[in-house]
Amino acid sequence: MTPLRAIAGIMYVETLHLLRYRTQAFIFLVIPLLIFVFLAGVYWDQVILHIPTVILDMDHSPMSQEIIQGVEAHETLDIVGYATDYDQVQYWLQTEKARVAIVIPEDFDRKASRGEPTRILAIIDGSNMVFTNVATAATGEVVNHLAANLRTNLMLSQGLLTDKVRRILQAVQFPIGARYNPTFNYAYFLLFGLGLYILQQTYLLGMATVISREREQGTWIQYQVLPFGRGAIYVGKLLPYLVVGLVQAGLIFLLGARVFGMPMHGKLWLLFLVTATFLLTVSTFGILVSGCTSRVNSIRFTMVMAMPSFILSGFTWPLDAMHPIARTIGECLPLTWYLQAFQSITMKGAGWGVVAPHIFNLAIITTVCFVLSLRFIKKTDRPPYRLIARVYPLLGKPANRYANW
Amino acid sequence: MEYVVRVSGLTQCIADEIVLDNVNFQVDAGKLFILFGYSGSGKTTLISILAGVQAYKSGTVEVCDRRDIGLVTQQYSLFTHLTVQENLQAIGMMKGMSPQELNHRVPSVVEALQLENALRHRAGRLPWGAQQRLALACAILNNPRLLLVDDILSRGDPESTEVIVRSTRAHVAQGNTCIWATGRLPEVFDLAASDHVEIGLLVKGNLTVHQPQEFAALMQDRTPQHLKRNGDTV
Repeated sequence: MTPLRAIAGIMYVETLHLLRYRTQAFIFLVIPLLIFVFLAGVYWDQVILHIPTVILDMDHSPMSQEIIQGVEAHETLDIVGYATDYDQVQYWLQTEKARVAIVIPEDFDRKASRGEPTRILAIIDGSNMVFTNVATAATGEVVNHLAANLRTNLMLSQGLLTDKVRRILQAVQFPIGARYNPTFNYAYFLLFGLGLYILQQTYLLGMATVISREREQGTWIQYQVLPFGRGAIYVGKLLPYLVVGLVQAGLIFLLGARVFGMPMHGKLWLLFLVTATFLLTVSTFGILVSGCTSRVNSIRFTMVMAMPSFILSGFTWPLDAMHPIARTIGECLPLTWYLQAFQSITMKGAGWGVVAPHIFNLAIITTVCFVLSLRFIKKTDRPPYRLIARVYPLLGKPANRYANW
Repeated sequence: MEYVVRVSGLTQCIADEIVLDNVNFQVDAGKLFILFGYSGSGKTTLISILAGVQAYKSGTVEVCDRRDIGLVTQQYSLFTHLTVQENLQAIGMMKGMSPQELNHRVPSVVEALQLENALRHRAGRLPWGAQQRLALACAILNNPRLLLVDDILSRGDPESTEVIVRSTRAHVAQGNTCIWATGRLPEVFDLAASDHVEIGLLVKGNLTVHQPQEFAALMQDRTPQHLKRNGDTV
């Protein structure tokens, strides 16, 4: 008798369970793709353009007009109005009619022409960090362009020759080239990460109930009496989910690359190897959760852990900038290593050498979860002999929870 | 005669309570061993230990190979979201049966337990009697040498009970062994009306083994209350 048949039987039960409950099937099979498409719609523009900008021009000079024209010409900024005083600027920003205010002070033209210190004030709504980052870069570009023109004019007015002015201005250059995402495309950064995070959550939701569900329905004993070890049970339980998870990941990659234009460099086999390892890690983690607690608590746990796992994964905030405790927790999460490996492969075209340490870390987490699950999930129940039996009634459980199957 | 189960000095404690106290018995091949005891006497604990799903404190338990054990629990332990046919397929596969074996055994077991009309129904939606029959069908699907039945007739209809008893007897008649736990005296007498039967009386964790006639005489003037109160005098 071979355990392969037993594994096939367990897979058969699990697959039918997956397909037969409509709500669960919908959550597990449809939701990740649906949310991915929805998120793709959210980040459809891929970059933020037309940030509403209000101008307070207190100079009304040719140079202030030049600044306004510079703002108008910039695709990121969109002039939505002209304020007459600071109070109006404040009002526009408070009511979110504008996210950026550019204040040109009195005598700006005169002072700038004479080389006297003066400044243009760019007020940016800091309540939304995405707007802040983009607006800071855009206003910086406008002002730097203007400053360069001013310096040129000033040097020319002081009698320097054009060639010399050009040489002075070009003497030190500081070109910034953003590799892998030169257009600072938000979708490149976020879309796949969010989609795969949702996949992880629905996957975990399924896996985290595979044992607790059987215990509560009284069918765990069908597995306990099998003449095979827990390894065969685990394999039979997780394989259907792994196959479905890989297909869903493949569809997410396909949709992202072909329909939404996301970068997809690197080797596809490596991407699927990392994804399979990640799903295996999440599976063993789910089995561990499922073995430790009831079905309801398993679901509660996955819900509560959802957002922290994404934040702690270092995807939106670098691990290096976290508190050491938060960073340590983050390093224990499979999502952390998977998303790092995923970004390296898809955006940088990284190969095995770069990705191997991430796979190794995922393998360590898998091993730890597997060993712990062996501790919590027993094929032979050990009744509580002394202390535990006294504690159980305090927790609202019967002293002998094995009394009835 | 070759034994299928041999238990000696088995003691099981749960919390500070002694559930099984120095239990000794042996069941030979081809025997129907009826384990009788009222609620809380330790039947389920003993069956679960024999099935290998519960650890015990002390003693020796020898049973046949684990793959030769079929188990029917009080709750039937069926996959309620699967149909009758799917339950049989799934449990047969989990027990390591090949497709050929399944094709051969499923129709005969279905016929014996009169489940033909329920094959496409989900197990969770069947009446109790049909669930009992399905649970037994799953347990005997691979023709196990040892069949453990834990008090399954507490619910259900007389027709199902008759079918189940008949199928169990047929299973034993093939040279297999069955340990049948029950808490109802009429069920014991019903099952005992056949050859190769032994009865184990389990009272407050103590087991005594009797022949059917001896057991009938013993039980003549003892009520359940008497057994529960004065179990040590049986």
